[in-house]
Amino acid sequence: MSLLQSLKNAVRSRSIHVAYVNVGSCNGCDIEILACLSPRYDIEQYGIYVHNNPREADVLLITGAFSPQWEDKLKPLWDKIPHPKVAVAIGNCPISGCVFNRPETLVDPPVSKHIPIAAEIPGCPPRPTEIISTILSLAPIIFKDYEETKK
Amino acid sequence: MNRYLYEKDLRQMKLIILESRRHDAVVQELAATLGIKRQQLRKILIESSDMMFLENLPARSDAARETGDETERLLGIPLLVQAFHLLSREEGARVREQYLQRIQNGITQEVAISKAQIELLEMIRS
Amino acid sequence: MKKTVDISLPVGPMHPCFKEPCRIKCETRGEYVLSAEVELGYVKKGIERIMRGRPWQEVMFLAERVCGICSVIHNFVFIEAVENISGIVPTERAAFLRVIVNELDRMQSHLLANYSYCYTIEHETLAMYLLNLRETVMDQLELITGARVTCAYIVPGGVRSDLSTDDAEKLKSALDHIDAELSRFVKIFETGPLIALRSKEIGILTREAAIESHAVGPTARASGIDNDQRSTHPTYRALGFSPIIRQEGDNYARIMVRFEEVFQSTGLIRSALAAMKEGPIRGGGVIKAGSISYRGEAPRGELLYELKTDDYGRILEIAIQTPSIPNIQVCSHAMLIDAQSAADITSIFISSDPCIACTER
Repeated sequence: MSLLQSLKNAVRSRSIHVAYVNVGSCNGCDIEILACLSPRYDIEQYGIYVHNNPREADVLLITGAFSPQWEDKLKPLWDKIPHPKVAVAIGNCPISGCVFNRPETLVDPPVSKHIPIAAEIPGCPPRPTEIISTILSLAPIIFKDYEETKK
Repeated sequence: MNRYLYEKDLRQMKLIILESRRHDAVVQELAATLGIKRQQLRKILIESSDMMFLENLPARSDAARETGDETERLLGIPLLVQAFHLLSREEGARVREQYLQRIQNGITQEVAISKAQIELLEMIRS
Repeated sequence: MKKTVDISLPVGPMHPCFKEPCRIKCETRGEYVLSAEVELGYVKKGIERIMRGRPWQEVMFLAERVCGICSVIHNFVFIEAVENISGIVPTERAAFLRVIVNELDRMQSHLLANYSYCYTIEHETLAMYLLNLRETVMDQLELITGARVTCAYIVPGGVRSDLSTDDAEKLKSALDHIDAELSRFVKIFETGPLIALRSKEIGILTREAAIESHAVGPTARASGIDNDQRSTHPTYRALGFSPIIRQEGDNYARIMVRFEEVFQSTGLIRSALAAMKEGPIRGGGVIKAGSISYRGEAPRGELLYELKTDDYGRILEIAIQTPSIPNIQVCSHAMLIDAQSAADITSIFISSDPCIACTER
């Protein structure tokens, strides 16, 4: 491993930028992501910074069961995120559609049909601690030695 | 003409909003007072209003039903002016006056109403 | 909408200030906002369509998932509507427990709304204080119901689980903590000069515009409209409820109404705890055929369930009118107009406590 790569690994492990996108959820998962910001869970002590800008993000959190308006919007949004990047599905909705995946519905789950999903957190909604621990355990695996393994 | 980025055809989604139970009841009520088909009124609404406005039609109609006098309610003017924003207040008042004028001139109520309906539709479509 | 100006400014669907996706398209002259329209459809799931023809046991959970922030009130209103159709009366203890859980839900929703507003006007310290206080309220919800967000606590004839004496003591001490902390935060908000500059006289909603659009909840009560469905609910009347009303109609008034309602909620919970007697919490009953339109007061305002059941307990027809619908509409078509700067667009929008998931269902 080159010196530059080890430097990048060290920096990346303490600086994870997160964007979240709601593609048709009931808000339950969104407020649990928001709760991660609160001083009790204090997501920023791990170097995770939540701001809703895809162009700066490393991790994209996806909630919701994919409503029709997103069909032409989620893929461009995913393309705007610079490499290395990872998408995490939060809650049952992006995985299976949860209670909304019934006859007569408008949603079109799962989200993995549209963009690659690296990890899934089931739960309706999952607890904030589960969200934080997933991001923390996933990010090193994806981002470690990114430049060297890419070749 | 300047266009928004990522602009999408919203007619399908506006129609889904109008198909909901309470929205459908309101649209049918107004279509009956105007003497047109439900589909025609839906078309007018989809062209003239944005999605948030369409969602709020039943609540606005509830508020509008409490205003106006007997004549205005018969012609559906409170709904058209206040709830649906299809006419201005002056236009609504003008139709009402013309209707009362015709009744005074001895025209039967049915004929006067159908004449008022035609006037209202012309104003909405112009 | 006809093009009348040079600049069309779209905000959203992804915006750092919005919790949820929606798109506000503003027509501006410089920074002065001339008109605005809202584009929806980003979270349309068709819940009413799914609900049709399903048994109430399934619809109950679907109703809760109309909105994750105010899930308790959707459960509350749906179950009470079904109870009213079938002539089921909840036991006395259960009625008080329902009020306690509902008020806790209202507190967390109001704290979240005020957090969003403070975050939007870039007062992050106060926002974080409020978000941390919300966690205390969420703990109490979890203590009583066993879940943080979707708890399905209320069932026909009663509630799912009882509140023990130990837990009631814990709840009381938490309420004291919330009161003490929140009065400090409200003082920060009331006396902060920069907060006043960004909140007072901004986003004014007149009483006439509010009535015309059927505005509800704190948005309407901040404009001097006495509209609170809790004042007609029997349990709340027994607790001596009276709504909080302010006259200014600007951003500041809306936030202050929510703060005052949190204090009111702690008071209501205390008096419910004092009035509660030991007794059964589950009554039971059979759902019958009938139709009803039932209103309840959600954190954001009046919530209407219009439904029709059959003898097997299936929901034949249902329509849900959530409080966010009139509030967002009046916000985008009355409050946003004449905003002096583009920076105020987001703060005015957030001050009406928009919940897109409710709006679109």
